[in-house]
Amino acid sequence: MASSSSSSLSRVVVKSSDNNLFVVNKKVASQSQLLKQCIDNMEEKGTNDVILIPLSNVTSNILTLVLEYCEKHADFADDDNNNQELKQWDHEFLKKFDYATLNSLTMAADYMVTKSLLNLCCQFIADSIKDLTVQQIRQIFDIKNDFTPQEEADIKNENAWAFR
Amino acid sequence: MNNMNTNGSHIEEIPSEIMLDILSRLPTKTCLKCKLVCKEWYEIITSDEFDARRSSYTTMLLRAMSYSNRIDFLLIEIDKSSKVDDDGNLIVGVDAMMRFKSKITVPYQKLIVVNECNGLICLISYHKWYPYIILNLLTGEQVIVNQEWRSPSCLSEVYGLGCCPVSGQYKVVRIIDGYHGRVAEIQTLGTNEWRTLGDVPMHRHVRDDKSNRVFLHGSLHVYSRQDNCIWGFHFGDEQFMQIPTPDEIEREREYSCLSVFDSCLCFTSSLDNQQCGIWLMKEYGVKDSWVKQFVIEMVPIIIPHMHLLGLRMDTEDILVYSCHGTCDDKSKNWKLLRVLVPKGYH
Repeated sequence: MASSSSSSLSRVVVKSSDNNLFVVNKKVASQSQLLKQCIDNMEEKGTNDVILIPLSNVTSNILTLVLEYCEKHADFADDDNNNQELKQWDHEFLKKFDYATLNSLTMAADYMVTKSLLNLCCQFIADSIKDLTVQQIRQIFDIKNDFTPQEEADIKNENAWAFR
Repeated sequence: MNNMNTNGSHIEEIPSEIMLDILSRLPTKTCLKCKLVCKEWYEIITSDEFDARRSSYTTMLLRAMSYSNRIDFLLIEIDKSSKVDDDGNLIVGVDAMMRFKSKITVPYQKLIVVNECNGLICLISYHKWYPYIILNLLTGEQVIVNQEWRSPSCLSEVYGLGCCPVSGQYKVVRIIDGYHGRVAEIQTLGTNEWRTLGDVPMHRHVRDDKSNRVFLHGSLHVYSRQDNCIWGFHFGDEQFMQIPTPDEIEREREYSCLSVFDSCLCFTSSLDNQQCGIWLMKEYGVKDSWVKQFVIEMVPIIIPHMHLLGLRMDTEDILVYSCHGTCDDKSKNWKLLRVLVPKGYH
């Protein structure tokens, strides 16, 4: 770990599961409660070293995305949450990914305790489920139907009241 | 960003806690559909936890009514994100409409939604000692809570359905108004037995207050015009408590209603000059935290229908009025919602 000349931490180094290093400034890192907690702990100890935070569950591809999100949101950190430009950006940001990436991003947001990103991902996935048929949901998310025909019929029967 | 898919995960890798979060954001009918996707989703959707979580995202606005010769009820679900056009019209899709048939015969052909709690709905008939019907939308299950006939001078007043935040048990509270004053009784679902809770401090309700109940933080709330306060009944400690109304409401108001907005207790009441005020209790239970969030021009008579939908049958359409969920924080522009129900759903 390199020694820093500044009196309080201004940057941290984050390591992905595939051993890539990312230098992240403190304001950006603070968007993640997990990173923020690490920084706070180190500052409490009075250390001046740049700290290294290993994230064993997040690959560098996904970490890049989380940090892109954090960077954008750090820029708007002083604004209120209702910033239209930011909302638009959020939407465009998620639209780029396939479902497999979205799933990973969701889990990374959960792991890194980036609540707003987690919320965003969950809503995005929910919205995309909304208009699909059962078949389409299984197909898009590659989910295996593990019901027997009888079980399936029973559930349909259980649901019948709403679809009459 | 190429190569994205090389790093993705399968949806089954998502922890079930997050999956629950995702699915709990869906409308009821979609949830029913999702029960069929796979066993894991079925387990999540039919769990108690799921019910409890849903209420924080989806707002259920419902009213049931009967049709000329069928005992069939129509439930309409509207969630906060529903799009409304400039005239305040909201076209409800078939997905938001649910028909349900009561397990028991309803004599007066009319059911009323008393309140909604964690996705469970409590319905009553106008008939005096008629059972309550508790409907679980996600499983289609109905629980009938019977009321035994008492002396004719006795009245049974429904208070409503709630859930104990500790045990997760659902309970129904009623008030028996008789010779010995007003006594609250409670029944835990599944026990088939009313327990007495003793005297009730609150005054008798006027008839039209029935649909004006809100479940929040383990308590069911109702505004009492007679007492000019909000009563809460906590389903954990089974006690009534008083919550003060905003200072400005120094006298009782004829037109007022309770709802939940942004997870806060929300009190709407008529002001003078054909206006109405909408207050939010920013910190639950703290009188000084009432904030008058909006003032809107409105005929006060509409207020009682603002949270739960008021429904009326027209020759052509069923029109539902509500003012809920269409507030734009910035412009403070409230719209009177008019929900147009697809034809053929009569």
